[in-house]
Amino acid sequence: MSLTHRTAWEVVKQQFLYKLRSNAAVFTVLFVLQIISMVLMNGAAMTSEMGTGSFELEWNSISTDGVMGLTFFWAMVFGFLMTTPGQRNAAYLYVATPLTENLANFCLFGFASLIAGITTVLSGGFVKLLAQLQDVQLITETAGLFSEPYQFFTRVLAMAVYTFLTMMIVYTIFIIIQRNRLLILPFILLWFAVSQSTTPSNWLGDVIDFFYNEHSILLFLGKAGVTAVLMAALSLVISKRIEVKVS
Amino acid sequence: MTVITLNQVHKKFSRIPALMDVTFSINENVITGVAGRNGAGKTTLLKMIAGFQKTTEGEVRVFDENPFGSLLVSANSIYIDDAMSYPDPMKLQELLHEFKRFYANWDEGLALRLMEYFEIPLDTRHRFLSKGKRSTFNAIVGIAARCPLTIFDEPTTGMDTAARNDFYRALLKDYIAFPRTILLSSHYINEMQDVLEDLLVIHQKRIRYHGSTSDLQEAHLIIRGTEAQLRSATSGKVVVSKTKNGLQEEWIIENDFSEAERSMLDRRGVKSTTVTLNDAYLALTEQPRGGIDDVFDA
Amino acid sequence: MHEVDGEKPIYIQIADWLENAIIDGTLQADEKVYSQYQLAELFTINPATAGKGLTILLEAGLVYKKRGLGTFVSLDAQQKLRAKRKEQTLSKLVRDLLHEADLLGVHKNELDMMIDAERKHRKGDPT
Repeated sequence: MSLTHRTAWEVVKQQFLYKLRSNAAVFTVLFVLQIISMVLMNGAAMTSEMGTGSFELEWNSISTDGVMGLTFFWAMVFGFLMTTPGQRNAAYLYVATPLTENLANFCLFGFASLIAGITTVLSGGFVKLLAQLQDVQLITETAGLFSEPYQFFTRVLAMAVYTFLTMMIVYTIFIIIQRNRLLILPFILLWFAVSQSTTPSNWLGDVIDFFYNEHSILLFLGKAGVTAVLMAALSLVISKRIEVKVS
Repeated sequence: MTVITLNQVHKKFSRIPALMDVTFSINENVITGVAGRNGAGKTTLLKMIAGFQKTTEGEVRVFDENPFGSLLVSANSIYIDDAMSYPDPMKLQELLHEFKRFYANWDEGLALRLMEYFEIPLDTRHRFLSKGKRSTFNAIVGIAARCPLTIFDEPTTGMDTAARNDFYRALLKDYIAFPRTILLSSHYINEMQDVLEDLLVIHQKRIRYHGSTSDLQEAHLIIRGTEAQLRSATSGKVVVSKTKNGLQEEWIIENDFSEAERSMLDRRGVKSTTVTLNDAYLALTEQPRGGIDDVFDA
Repeated sequence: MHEVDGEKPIYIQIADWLENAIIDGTLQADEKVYSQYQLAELFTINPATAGKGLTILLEAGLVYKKRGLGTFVSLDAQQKLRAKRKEQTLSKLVRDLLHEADLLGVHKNELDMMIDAERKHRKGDPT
C-alpha cells in the first residue's frame, strides 16, 4: 500500500482555490451591494449650512461611508457563512483537516478583504465622478491613484485590514457558537449591553477607537496583526474539536 | 498489514450511546461489508473511521494515526454517503475536476467513461439529478478516487437493480486492478455479499460478528421437519430462530454438528441445509423471518 | 452465480463449477486453471472467495501449482472426481430415486424399463 503524503500547505492552497470557485457568488454580492450603495448615496448626499445672517455658506458633502458600511456588513455575513456546517461539509468532500480548513478560510478572508479594499476605495472615485457629472464646483478631499498613489494604497490597505478584522472576529465568534450553541447567549447579552448603553465613552467605543484612531500606519498594522493572530489561534483551537458531517 | 484498528471504542451523542465497546481490526485490501439494522451505529462507526467524528472513549487508528484531524487519513481516504453536500453553483464536471486536484490516484479517464456509461451529463448540477443518479455519481467518485481506504455508506440508495449490479461489478473490477481497503454498508446483504470478503455485523450498538462471510454462513444450519422431529433433533443445540413454512417448521440453528450427527438428522427425516448469508445475518440481528405472523396470531 | 444452489457458500459453488469443468473435459489434464482474479471477474465475486474455492481443489489434489506460472489440472483429476461423484452424488441420486419409486409404487421391472427408455432417448439425441 503506497500512501500519499501531502503537506498542509499544499492542501490549504487547493482548498483556497476550491473555496474561491465554490463561493464566487459572494464576490458578485459585494459588487452589487457597493454599486447599490453608490447610487443611493449620490441621492442622499449630506447638505450642510453655515451662516451668520449676512453671510451664508452651503455645501454638499459626499462620502463613501455608505459603501464602507455595506462592505463591513458583507464582511460580517461572509465571516459567518464560512462557519456554517454546509461550508465545512463541502470542504470535507475533499482532503481537509481542521487546520487546513481554517487556514484556507483565512486565506479566503485575506483575498476577499483585498478585493473589498480596492473596490471600496475605487468606489470613492466613482462617487466623485457621479458628483462631478452634476456639480461643477468641486473640491476633492480624497486621494486618487494617480494624484497621490501612496495615499491611495494606504486607504486600500486600511480598508482591507478593517474588512479582514471584521471577518476574523465574526468568524471566531460563530466558530465558538458552532462548538456550543448555548454560547450564543453571552454574545447576545453583550450586543444588547452595547447597543443600549448611552454613555458616549463606552468600552466598545474604546475598542473601535483603538483601531480607528491610530495615526501611525505601522502601529495600526501591528495592532490589527496581533488581533488577527489571536482570533486565528482561538478559532483554530476551538474548531479542532468540531465534528464534521453530523446529521 | 492492519489499516484500521478500534480498541474499546465508545461513542455517545449528548449522553445517548451510539456505539459501545467496539474492538476490531481490518487488514489491508480487504472488502468488508458493514451490516446492521437502522440505528445500529453503522454510520457513526464509518464516520469515526473517516476522521469526521471523534470517540467518546477508546482509540481509533487508521494508517497508524488517530483519524480525527489527520491529514494523512484525509488524503488517503474517501467517504461516500447519500448526503454529499456539493457546493450548489458547481457543475458535475467542475466537481470532478476538484477531485482530480485533491486525490493523487484519481483516474480521470475512468470517471468520464463511467459518467458516460451511466448517462450522467457533465454540465448539470448534482441537485438536478434524480435520486438514483445522484447516488451513481457519488459511487463513480468513490471508485475513481482509488483511495487506499474507500468507505461507502449506503452507496446504492435509490439506484435501480441494473445500476446496483453495475456498481458492484465496477467496484470489483477496479478493486482487482487496484486493490484497496474497502468498507461497504448496506441494509441488503444480498446485493453486496458476492463482492465481500468479510462481514462486520453491528447489533444494538455493539459488534455482533466480524469474520469471513462464508464462516458466518457455515456457522448456521437450517433444518426442516415437523415440530416434534425438530425438537428431538435439536436437544442440546442452540436454536436461533423458528419459522413456519407451509406445514413444515423451519429452524435456524447454530452449526456445531459433526458429519455423523448430520447423517443422523437425515435418517430421522430432518432435512438440513446451509443457510444463505442473509438468513444468517437476520438470525444474528434477531430479525425474525416471517415473525410478522405472530402479530396477527396474537 | 446463484442459479446453481443459492444456499451453498460461494466458494463451494466455485469449487463445484471448477470440478464440473474438469469432469466434462472443459479443463483438460495439465491445462491452466483460471486464476482467482479471473474467477472473481467472471462471477463478480471477491477474489479471496474465489481463492478459497481454488484451495478446495488444491487440497483435494485435483489441481497443482507451478511457481510463478499458475495452477494446473492434475493428471488424475478427472478420474478422482468421477470416483468421488459416483460415491457421493450418484449414490445419493439412486437413493432418492428408489425412495420416490417406493412412494409411487413403481417396482424394479418398471423402473428398469424407464431407465432403458431414457437411455435410448439420450442416444438418439445428438448431444
